[in-house]
Amino acid sequence: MSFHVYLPIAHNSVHILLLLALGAIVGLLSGLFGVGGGFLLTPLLIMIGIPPTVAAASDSNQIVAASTSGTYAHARAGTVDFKMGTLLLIGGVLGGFLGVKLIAFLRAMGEADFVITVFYIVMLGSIGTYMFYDSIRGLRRAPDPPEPPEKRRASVYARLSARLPFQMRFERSKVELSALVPLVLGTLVGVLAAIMGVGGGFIMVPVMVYLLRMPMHVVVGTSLFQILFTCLNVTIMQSWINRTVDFLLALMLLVGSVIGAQIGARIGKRLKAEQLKILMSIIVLVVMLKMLYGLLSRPDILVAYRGGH
Amino acid sequence: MRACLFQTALFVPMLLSSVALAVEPMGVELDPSEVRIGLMYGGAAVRVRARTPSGCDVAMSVTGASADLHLNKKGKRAGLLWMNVGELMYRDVPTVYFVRSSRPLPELASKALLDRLELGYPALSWSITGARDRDERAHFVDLIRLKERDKLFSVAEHGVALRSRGASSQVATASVFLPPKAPPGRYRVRVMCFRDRKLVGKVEATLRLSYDRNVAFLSTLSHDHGLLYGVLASLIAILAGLLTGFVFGRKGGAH
Repeated sequence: MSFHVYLPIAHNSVHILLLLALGAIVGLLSGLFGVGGGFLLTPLLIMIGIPPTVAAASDSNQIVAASTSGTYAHARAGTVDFKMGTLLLIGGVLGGFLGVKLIAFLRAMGEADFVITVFYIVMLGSIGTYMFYDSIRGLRRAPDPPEPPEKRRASVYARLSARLPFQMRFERSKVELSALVPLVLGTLVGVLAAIMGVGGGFIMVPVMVYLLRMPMHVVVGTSLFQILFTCLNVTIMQSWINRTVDFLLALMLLVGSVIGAQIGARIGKRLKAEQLKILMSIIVLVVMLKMLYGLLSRPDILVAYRGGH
Repeated sequence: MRACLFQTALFVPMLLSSVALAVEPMGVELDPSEVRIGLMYGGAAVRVRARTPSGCDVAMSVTGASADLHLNKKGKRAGLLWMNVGELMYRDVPTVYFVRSSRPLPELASKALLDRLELGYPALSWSITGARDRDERAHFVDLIRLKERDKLFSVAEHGVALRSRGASSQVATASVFLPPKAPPGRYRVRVMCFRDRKLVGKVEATLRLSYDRNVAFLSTLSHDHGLLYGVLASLIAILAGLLTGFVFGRKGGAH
């Protein structure tokens, strides 16, 4: 009996255990950090022979299930800031539209691949390095418990945002800021997510922690809420326009992610916020270094099938 | 005119040879002759068994339908980064190309004959339109390596086993493995018999690769009803997520 599953849209066959393991990794990340995991899973799927476009689109389908489960659990626990999440989502949809237009412009100029790759490395490198540095500093400064956001020294950014109109209180996040801040930041993340072809969770989480000053436990739930709708949109659009969603692939990843999410939830309960951030920053930096190595080393074969970044 | 002369040149020795030896007609069997792609499909091994005149060398080929192939060319950008730097287009590239022979191909026939019969990679470079242009020719080896990596192309000299069956005939057998990436369709299987570097016999068969009902349903739904497929995939994912959340009642990363 074969332990392979044939993927009709990817036109390939993959060992079932391999797909379950990849799904488990994503579930673990989703449960621990509130990210979709697309930034990690898409390159891994490409490495096992899934065409890039199918990998990215099917990944979104899987993340719909994982983030639904996560959002449901966090909503029950009262750790989703729906008000903040909705504003970020509106900004994200607008940013996604602008990002798609920008990519079309860059493709017409023949520079899209170069810009996307360099963007990826710069973004992952800066976010990973900053998170790692900040978490180490946080652990040294206040090992137990972390300093509340309200007591942090007001930065230039904080002072500027305090002067903006439409100030409102976000009860769940226990912050007060202008509605324009999450809207603009959501738009910027949407542009980046569209350019990089991912859900944007790994950019959104640092944005919520460092720029919106949201507490980590609300960040995870709110990020999952926002990712759910972003990936829902991507799944339907990719199925409709590009026919690149492989449902069987998504289903296998989903089963694995359910197992991974259980493990992630148990590990997460034993870790402090700063430790979680260090882990996340290490993962981001490893992915960045892997991409950088791929760009600097000469490929074995100097041609590739067309159809992905 | 040249092609006509060539065909005559091929046909006459074949005719003379078969008359002189008074052999049984050549035949070929495929096991299986039809492969169904189901949900648990992981590729399929196909055995080619041919009856040929005794004492001749044998080459077999399995070829998929030809199509245009668009590739990205890799090169250095900014003197540092290896990235896509251009596009290449080859016409008439077979989706699958397997060759098996009882001896190295150059020992079986002249280069001109191998080229005509499209046997071996050098011969393939002449049948693929575009492989003769300067840039495309330079990357033809990479195209072959790309296809070999996906197990869609392979050439195995000494890949045909010959076993005598009486004084006038022999049995030639070879195996090919159709990888999961081989697309559904009809594959042309050829068995060619060579003596004194000349073609003395040839026989063909068709191998069929098709989707079973489940795979065909998913493939058709995705290609012909993309919006419905996307909505259904999303709904199933949401239901699966809710069910998971309900059953496990997990808190995710909250802590």
